[in-house]
Amino acid sequence: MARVLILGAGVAGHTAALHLRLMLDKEHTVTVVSPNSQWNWIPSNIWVGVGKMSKKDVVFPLAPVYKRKGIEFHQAKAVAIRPNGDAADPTGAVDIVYTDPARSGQEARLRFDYLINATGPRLRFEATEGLGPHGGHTVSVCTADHATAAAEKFAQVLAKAKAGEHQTIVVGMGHGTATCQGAAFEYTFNVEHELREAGVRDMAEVIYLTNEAQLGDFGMGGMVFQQRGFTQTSQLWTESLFQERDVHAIVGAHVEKVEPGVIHYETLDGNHWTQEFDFSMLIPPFGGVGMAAYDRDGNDITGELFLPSGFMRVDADYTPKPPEEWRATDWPETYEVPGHPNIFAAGIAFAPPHQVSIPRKTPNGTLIAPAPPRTGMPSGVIGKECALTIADRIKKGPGAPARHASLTKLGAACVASAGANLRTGSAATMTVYPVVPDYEKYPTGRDLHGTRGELGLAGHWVKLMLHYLFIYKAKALPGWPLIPE
Amino acid sequence: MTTQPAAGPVITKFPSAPVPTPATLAMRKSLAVQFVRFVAIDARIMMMVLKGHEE
Repeated sequence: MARVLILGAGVAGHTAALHLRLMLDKEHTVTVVSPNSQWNWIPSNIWVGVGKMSKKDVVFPLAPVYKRKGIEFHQAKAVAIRPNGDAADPTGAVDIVYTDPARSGQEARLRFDYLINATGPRLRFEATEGLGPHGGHTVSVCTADHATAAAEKFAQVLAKAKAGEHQTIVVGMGHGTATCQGAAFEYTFNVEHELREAGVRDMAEVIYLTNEAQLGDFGMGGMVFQQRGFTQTSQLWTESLFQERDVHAIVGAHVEKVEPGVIHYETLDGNHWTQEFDFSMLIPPFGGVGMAAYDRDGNDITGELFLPSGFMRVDADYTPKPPEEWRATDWPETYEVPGHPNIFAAGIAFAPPHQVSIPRKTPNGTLIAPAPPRTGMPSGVIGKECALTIADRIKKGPGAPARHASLTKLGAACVASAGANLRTGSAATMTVYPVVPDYEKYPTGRDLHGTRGELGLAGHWVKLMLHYLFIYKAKALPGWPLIPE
Repeated sequence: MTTQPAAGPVITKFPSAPVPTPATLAMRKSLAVQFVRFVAIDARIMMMVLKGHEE
């Protein structure tokens, strides 16, 4: 009998749990530990944040799904990994603290034969003074609750605009090292769409404030598309949309501090500026969840398993090197933790070897470096491939080779909503292949046949379809394995 | 250069960026055209999925 333990129930962890339960006999246990009682389809939080959907449309309780599928569930936070067990038992273990209201604060130690760390990000609002909805002055759409609160504030903005009060809306990145530019881009254009639908577009200035050095970077170093006989950059493509919708931009910015109604930021030229706002949604930087690691004697080995950022070391090349020396081979393929072939990190939890966008510093030494995205489709694929590796090793023996899922070989589709309406909505649909550019293989870093971008109503329909498909799949309803990651 | 200073020294507009013609905007909203694009985008995403699962 093997015990598989999965930390986190987001896209990567939940996908891995469902596939493992499907592949393994009942004699083996699959256990999920997540501090949240509900699963959240995060891409649709954008629509919750403008009032087009409610929280109940994007979340569902995990416990009934896991009970039906025979997966053990602990609503708890993982606080420490003991990869080689403790003094009493050499079997690996994870220390957890329950967040389940019935056992809140109680501690337990769970043993594992195989472990997947898919804990996702910690939202580091504290990295920027005054950032975020918890005592700060900006809203967020990172969780369904945050998005619900954002929608309430946005409704007030709409009401003021309708009453003839001009509004300044700033959406973007709350720190020079934040990621998820796509989400901020989506929220910008959904807000702009709602203003138009309400007939008050002329009563608001919409500003996209980003740490990207130019528009269209998306934390992926930008893209080159082939369209109608020409190649064009995602920068030009994105600027076109900004010009069409009269959305303004502040690029290459690191937000230093947010005060009520005022954002303080530094730009790549080293100058410091302020921007007033009536409503602002800024994405925080992400970090690992902050688990510790201990050896059998209780000595702290956190630095062996995790980078200082809190993300987990895997089979990547973490040697510091300048961008001109970055290679596709730097990126992990198996997501195995070095020295521990029974431990994996999937989704946001794994530590990338470096950025994809070129990191930059201001003359004052401030780092402005969009972090690489590793959410959505790649997270699901990596979660599944880790599950397949574990299933192989349980069935065929611990020497079974690991499955591969390098971001330099994976494609991804990004459907960025630019307005939610079945007839008047639109979305920017981008497919990138591969996610991380490989300049040794492709002159532009990516395959021009697989890297495309287009705008239109069809994109909205695709995003809506994905919303229903992925929630159906996550609920593990009949036929769920037929829906790909 | 497609950028120039607008209201403030760092707030940027993009007056030189190409903007869609009325015909392009109409195509982006046309139910018939967009249905074809919907099928095409789905096919392209499936290609990404298949490539993503190649071993």
